[in-house]
Amino acid sequence: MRKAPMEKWYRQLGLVFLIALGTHTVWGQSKTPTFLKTDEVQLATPKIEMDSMLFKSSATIQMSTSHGAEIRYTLDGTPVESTSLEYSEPLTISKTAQLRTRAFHVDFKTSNEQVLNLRKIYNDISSAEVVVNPAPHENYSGTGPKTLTNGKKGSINFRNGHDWLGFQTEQVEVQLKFNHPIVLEKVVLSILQDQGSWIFFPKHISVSNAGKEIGSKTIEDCGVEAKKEMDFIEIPINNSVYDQLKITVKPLDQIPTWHPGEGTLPWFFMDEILVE
Amino acid sequence: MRRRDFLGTGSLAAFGMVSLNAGAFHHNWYKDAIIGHGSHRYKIDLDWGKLNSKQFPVKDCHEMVQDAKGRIILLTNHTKNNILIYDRSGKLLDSWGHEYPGAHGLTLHNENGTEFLYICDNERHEVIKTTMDGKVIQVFPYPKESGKYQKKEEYIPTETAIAENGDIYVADGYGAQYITHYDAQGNIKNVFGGRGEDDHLFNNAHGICIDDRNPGKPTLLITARQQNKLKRFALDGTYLSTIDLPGAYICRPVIHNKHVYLATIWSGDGSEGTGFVSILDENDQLVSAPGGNAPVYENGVLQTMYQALTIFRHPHDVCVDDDENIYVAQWNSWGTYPIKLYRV
Repeated sequence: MRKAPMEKWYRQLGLVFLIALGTHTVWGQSKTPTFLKTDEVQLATPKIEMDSMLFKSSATIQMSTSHGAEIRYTLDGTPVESTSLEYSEPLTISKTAQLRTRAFHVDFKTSNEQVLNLRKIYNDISSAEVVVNPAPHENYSGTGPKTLTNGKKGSINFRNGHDWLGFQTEQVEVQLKFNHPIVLEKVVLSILQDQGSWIFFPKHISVSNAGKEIGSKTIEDCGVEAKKEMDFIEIPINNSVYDQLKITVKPLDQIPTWHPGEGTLPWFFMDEILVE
Repeated sequence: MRRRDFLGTGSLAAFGMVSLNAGAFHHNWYKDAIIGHGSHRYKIDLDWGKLNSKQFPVKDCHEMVQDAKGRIILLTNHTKNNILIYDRSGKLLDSWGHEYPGAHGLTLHNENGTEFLYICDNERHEVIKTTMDGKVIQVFPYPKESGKYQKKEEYIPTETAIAENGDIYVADGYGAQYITHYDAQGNIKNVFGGRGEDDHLFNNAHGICIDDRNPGKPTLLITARQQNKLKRFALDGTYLSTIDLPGAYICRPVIHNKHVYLATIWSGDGSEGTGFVSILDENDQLVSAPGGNAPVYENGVLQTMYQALTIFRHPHDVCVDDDENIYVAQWNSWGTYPIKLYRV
């Protein structure tokens, strides 16, 4: 938040004026404070509370802000503008959607945009057989392999609850065996990024069936400094009927040089796998 | 005239002058941002204490205290100058200290008219008592004799509190979460706390202070930062009560007159770049949150706090001066110097 040169110059003039008034003696100090102006201060993004980012029928979302700011939002993936819908009461979401919000105020700078992906569970695979190899770290082992198919989303504070599986390995393999064949075109991984805790999004995810790769995804910018967030990564697969899938996740080889953990193996966290 | 009284006059004078040709400037250029709530509201000076970073660099600005001379003492983990001593206007008066790579906790204690500093060093795994000009008086190594520690690396002290009788309490906030209680000579009297979710245990016992607001009945206030709780203990280590501050990752309690001030390093869901300042009254109610939303209590329960304005980035400590102005030292904020808040 740097001041515009014009304002800075003007405040110095103000200082001269104050000294001329003879009030300088009460400062008794060598420096005069320059106060931050409202239009130099940016609003924080609205606070969002919801029952779950992952839902079977619907999700309820409550948003709040402070200092008399207003909240505007979109649900269709378009950027939020000053003319977007104004939030006034809790929202009920009944299908997969992207919520984007910003806070606006007449005096303060508009907040950054906050983007939140909400996901409906279309196929309940809680009865599928799940094998995770290697086993997650003992401190982040959730409630076992079935943590990934129980329909329960973990909190962004990954240490709370038992919904996340955490790994610090070069590769993670998950085998899913459904109890009946399902027509599928997409696998979705629900994952966490918390670089302050050395948790990065993975570099590459591939999906195979009967030893043959049927889809893959590379996350190019997974090593770029970014904020703490949960996201759903979609991996398109050949549209077909499947009774089992193998998902192979490859984290970054090492934490990038800008990070204090430079050169070490990053953590990878996931809490749910969806198939659509 | 007290500083905060003067500020009102000063801004009025400035306003009067500028209105002569305000048209040339942005419509609300004169509108100073005011943060905080109720009786505790502040204007913000981001430039306070700014120095030549080549000559007087800071890494994390961890803690600040004010001494009897009114000087503001900052502790940073930059070994070029672990201690920077300012006057209240932000002018540098002195600096010292090269041997505290993990400089984290800074407590000032007046011992029969002479002031001393207690520095917790995360990397050295010890607490160091010094004079005000940096001469080492005593080193408290890891408390092996307490039986809680096998090696020094398990002990990562973050804060000290010194009682009126000279007893020293050390919070092992980044280590095993014990509070080690020494007598004034440095002999261990007691150990309590430890890691856990129970009332008497901690997840990140980051800060500790003596709450002497109730005459003759001092208690300890200890933060459980990851749990967003401030816990009260008797001086003998008996757990008494908990103050819930959901959404506020509080670092250390600082008592000033009737209030408790706490830097809040993260807020809301604990996201990067968040934080504000928390101020509790004598009834343990959050009455003001500069940089945060207005505190809301429903049926006596504080609703989850969050950052409202992006002024602070990970406040790590607050120091309240005689004019009730606040200095905010920040962690992991790109080597920036403390921010000063002027009470209005």
